[in-house]
Amino acid sequence: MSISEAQARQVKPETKTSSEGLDPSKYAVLMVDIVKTFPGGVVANNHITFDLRYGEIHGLLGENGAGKTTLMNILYGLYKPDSGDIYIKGRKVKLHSPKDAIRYGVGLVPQHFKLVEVHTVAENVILGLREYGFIIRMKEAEKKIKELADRYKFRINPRAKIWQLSMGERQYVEIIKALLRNVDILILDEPTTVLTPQESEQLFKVLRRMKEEGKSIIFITHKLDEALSLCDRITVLRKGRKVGTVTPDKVTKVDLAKMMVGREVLFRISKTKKELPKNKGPILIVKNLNVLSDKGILAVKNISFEIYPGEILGIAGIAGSGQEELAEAIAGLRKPISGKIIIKGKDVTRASPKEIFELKVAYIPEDRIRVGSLPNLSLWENLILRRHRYEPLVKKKLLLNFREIFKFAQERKKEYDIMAVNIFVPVRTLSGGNLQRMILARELTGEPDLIIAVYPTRGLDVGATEYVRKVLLRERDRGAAVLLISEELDEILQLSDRIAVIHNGEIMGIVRPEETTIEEIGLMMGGALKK
Amino acid sequence: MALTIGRYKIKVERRLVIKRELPALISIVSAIIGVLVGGLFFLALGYSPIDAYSRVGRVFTDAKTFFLAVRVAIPIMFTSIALTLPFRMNFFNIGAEGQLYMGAIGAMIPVILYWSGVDLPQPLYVPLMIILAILFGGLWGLIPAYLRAKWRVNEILTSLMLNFVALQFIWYLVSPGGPWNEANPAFKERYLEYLKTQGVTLIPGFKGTPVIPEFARIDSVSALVLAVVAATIIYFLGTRTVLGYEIKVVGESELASKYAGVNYMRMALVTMFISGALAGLAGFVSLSTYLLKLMPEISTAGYGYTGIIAAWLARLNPIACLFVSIFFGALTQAGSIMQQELRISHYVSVGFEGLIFLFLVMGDFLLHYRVRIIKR
Repeated sequence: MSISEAQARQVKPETKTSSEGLDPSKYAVLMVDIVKTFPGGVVANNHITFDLRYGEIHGLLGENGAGKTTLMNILYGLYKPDSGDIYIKGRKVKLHSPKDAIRYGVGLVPQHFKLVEVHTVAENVILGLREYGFIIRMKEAEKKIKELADRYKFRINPRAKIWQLSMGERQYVEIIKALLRNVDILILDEPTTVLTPQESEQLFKVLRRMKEEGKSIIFITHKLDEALSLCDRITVLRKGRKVGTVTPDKVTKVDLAKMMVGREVLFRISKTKKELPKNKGPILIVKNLNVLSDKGILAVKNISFEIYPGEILGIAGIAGSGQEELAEAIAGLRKPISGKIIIKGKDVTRASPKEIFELKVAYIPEDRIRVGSLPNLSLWENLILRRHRYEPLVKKKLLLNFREIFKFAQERKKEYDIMAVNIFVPVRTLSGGNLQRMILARELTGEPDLIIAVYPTRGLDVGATEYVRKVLLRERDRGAAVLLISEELDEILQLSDRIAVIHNGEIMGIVRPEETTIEEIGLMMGGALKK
Repeated sequence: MALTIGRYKIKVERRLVIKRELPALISIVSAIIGVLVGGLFFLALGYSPIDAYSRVGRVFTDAKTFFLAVRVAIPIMFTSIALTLPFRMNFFNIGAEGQLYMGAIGAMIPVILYWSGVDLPQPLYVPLMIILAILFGGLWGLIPAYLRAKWRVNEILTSLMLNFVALQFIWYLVSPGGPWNEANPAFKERYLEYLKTQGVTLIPGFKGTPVIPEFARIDSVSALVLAVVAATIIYFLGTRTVLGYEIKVVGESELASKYAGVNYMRMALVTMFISGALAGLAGFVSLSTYLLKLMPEISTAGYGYTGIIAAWLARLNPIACLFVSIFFGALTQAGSIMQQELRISHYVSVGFEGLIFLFLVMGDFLLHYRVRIIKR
């Protein structure tokens, strides 16, 4: 480790990047002129040169589909580049599998954790390691995990089962998995997508400590603030090409966004002030609602609120505070144990998802892939979901009317600018942003009166996020009532007309964004303040 | 996945795109390899593979033998078509065999009544038998569907176990002393008289029902037409209707289907009724085209199980099921030629059929994965 620390100190501010004349021995990782084309002709990496210095945190920034993950999968031996060279710690390497990468000291923490939920932390960590014997020496493994946790100052119980852990803790398990394999180059793929702001801060502290110990870290992200606050250098990719490498002190958030998207990005979306039409009754009334979670715990505790037409009610809270269950109950996917849900004057507490849909309620689910879409089915089959029983898409109540269906799908694709070759491609080939556009296109057709949006921008890049927010505001201005659930306080503050803060299944208070502060909401989210 | 042998490395990669012609190509090549390996099999047993295959080849060249192959194929057509719908919604109906038995039992009811002295207008028999086969098979199929939808009971286990229940039910009905056994005194008058005109007598200890009278039989050509009609209807149902669309949605993601307001209970019941009904028809056709008596051996070829393989090889396309079934029928026919003409043991010919299946199923792997050999 001391060697790399020494080398880390040697580095000079970077001059203009050029692939020739880079001395591989000076870099922890040097990838030169990488090209990767996928079947179908998508050039995911177009002559990308990337370097990672010893002991730095290097941000890899780009929109979804920019080629970040592909590049890192090449470094981790999952993909083979079509051309280009890879040097790890000065040695030219050919990587045939992740095993090779790990042997050279490269570890990857995947975006979607690959953990066995019913096993303990220790069992997960040693999976695939031979050192712990055929009859596993579990005590030894647990001790090792404790040591690592102490060293980097995070808390983890090696005997806890994965399903009992929060997303933040699971991330640490993945990191330990890499560290126990003696990795000194660590790739983290969008690690903060599933974390609360506090958990992210914790993670950054751990990463900085690892850096101080001489580990070199590649941090894949599309969140500009994170890249700026955490990274020593940032490389921006756009559409498979490298835009450039910058240091955070030389650029602003606006510059980075421009590099990433290729145009100016609005961070503040203008919202027209509007008085609520008080003469109209509320669209949604929730009264003393109690809902159980999957594990049978009371997740929503005696919640009451209402939403009027033309209003966005934001629900702020740490993910897992009961807001998901609340949304599911309103959408008819989860039966409340007591209380009332009234939509447009109709009691729908026990109604089916179909009945609720027929009251013109749109639902943008949290899980875009498994709930919101049918990955292996085509774009048109996805677009007609929920609408597939009604005229004009159906003739005589049971025959699909293909002429109308294709027309409908083409129109939605065009209107919401869904980037897909045609309406017959399976939606698993769409990027996250396009998938969300598809869901919006489907849900917002037919001018819904109530829109339930659950984490609508989670995991989306800047461009797609901006789009989703604009669409929600547009719908509000049209007169729809919107229930917006988000963990991004910025988003809640920008979009909401009123904010209900949820903590541990209870509403701590309903405030107006112009009359509150982030601190106040933060305290309420943490349960320290009740209004 | 990778395996290193000496200087070579064998790597298995998932295919990202599957070309349109690939499925048929792989199936044909797999079958050819199976035939070649089967040849070694014959050689080892002391038969000339060339002789064996030239005789077997008659299945496709000789019209009469081919007709026999198609006749064997018809029940497989029904069972495989039956399975396409539930498999598409990820409902693993392993119970086509039992639904076939129940269908055969249902179809037999009018015949039993006839021999007991209850007369119906003769043209009504065939339609009535078809309706009863559909009802019995369909209702039998509802049991695993209801249990799955109501309490999430594993449908593989329930549908499989119900096969044995149905088979035992047949045993009960047709064994000597059973209510449907041909020696049952209830049939005495009319049936013995009929046998006399045919010049035969009752076989003591026979396990089976009285024979189906001529007017209640159908010929293989009508049965084949029925199968083609069924395949067309199911194809249409699967691709052009709301029901077919919802089946696909449920198969893709139960969560998404719930969100889309699809009622799983309703879907499971409807799909399994249709599936069971078609399997029940398989029982009816095998009974009334050539078996003519309900016996425990009604599905010795395991039509319900063969249908599973046929449905998969046909990629759950009901039209393709027709052709795959004919291939399976030809294979069975080839087996019986070997037995009769080469005096090869029954077990060897069944083993040969199994070998071809095995290669076809193994070939399926290559459809989704590509194997590359890399020299280091």
